[in-house]
Amino acid sequence: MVSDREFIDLAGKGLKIEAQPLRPLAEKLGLSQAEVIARIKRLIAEGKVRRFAASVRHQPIGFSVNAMVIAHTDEAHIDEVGNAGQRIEAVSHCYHRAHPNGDPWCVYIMVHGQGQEVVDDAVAQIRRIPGVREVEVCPSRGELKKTSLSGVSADPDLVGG
Amino acid sequence: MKQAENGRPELDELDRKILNRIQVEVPLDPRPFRVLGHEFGLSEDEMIGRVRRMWNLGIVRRLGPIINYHAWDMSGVLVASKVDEDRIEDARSAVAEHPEITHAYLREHEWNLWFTVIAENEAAMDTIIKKVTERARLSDVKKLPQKKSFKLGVKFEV
Repeated sequence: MVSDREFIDLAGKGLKIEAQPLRPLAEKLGLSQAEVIARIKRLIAEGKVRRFAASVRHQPIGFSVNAMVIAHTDEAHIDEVGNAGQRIEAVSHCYHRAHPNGDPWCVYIMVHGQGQEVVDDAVAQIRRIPGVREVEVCPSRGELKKTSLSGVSADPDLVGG
Repeated sequence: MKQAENGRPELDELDRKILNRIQVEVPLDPRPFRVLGHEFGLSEDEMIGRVRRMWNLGIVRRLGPIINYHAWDMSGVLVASKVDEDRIEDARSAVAEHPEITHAYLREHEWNLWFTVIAENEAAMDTIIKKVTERARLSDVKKLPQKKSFKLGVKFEV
C-alpha cells in the first residue's frame, strides 16, 4: 500500500496536459484512476491538500508590478490591520510577521498590479488603515527563483508574490 | 505565437476565463479536460489545445494537487537577507541549487534578498539557509516565521 507521503511526493511532481493526466501516476502507483481520485479527495478533506488545480504564473499575463508592503502597527491593531489589508483588491497575501530589524508587530501585504498606479493606489489605501503608523514599500527588482518544490509543491501563500 | 504590442502573450476572453477556472480547481475526473470543455462549450481537444498553448507560453506552470505543507509536519519560513550587488549572481546560483527554496526575490530595501524555504524540519531548513548564506556571502540573515495569515487561496482575476 502506497503511503500518503509517497503518494504526494509523486503526485506533487505535477501532471501533463493530456486527455488522461492522472493515468501515468495511477500506473506508476499500481492504482486505478478512481483510486487516485479518491485518495486526492480524501487528502483535500483532511486538509493535507488545498486543492487540485493549475498553478498560474501571473507575470506574463500582466501582473508585472509587485510590491511587498510592510505596515508597522502595534499589538492592539495587528488583526485590524491584517483584515483591512486583505480586503484591498490588489492584495494577494497578507501576514503577520516580525520585521528583520526587530519590530514584532508588522503586517506584510503583497500587492500585485497590472500597472504601477494599481500598486500606488493599494499603498495609499494601506497608509489610511487605522493603526498603521509606518509603511515600507519594497518593490520587486526581479525574481531570482519561483518554482514548486519537487515532491511537495508550495502554495505561494508562504511568501506572497 | 501572437504577441500583443506590449510584448505580452495574447490571451482572449475565453483563455482568461479558463485560467480563472483552472487555478481555482481542475475537475477530479479521469478526463478533466472533457469536463472543462463541457463547461466552456469546447471539445476536449480544443480545451487541451488552449491549456497546452498557455503551458507553452509559461502561463500555466503546473497541474496537480497543491499541498498544504503545514499539514505534513514540514517547516517553512520567509528569510530576509542582505546581499552585495556583486554577489547577486552567486545568490541566484545558490537558490537554484536547493529545491527547498521555492521563491526568491530581490527587493528595493535595506534587506534586499528575500526567499522562502520549505524543508522536512527546522534543522534541515537551517542547513539550507547556512549553505546559501556562505555561498552568496550574505551579510545578514533573519528568519521571519509567519505568525498569522489573513488570507488564503487565490484571488487573481486574470
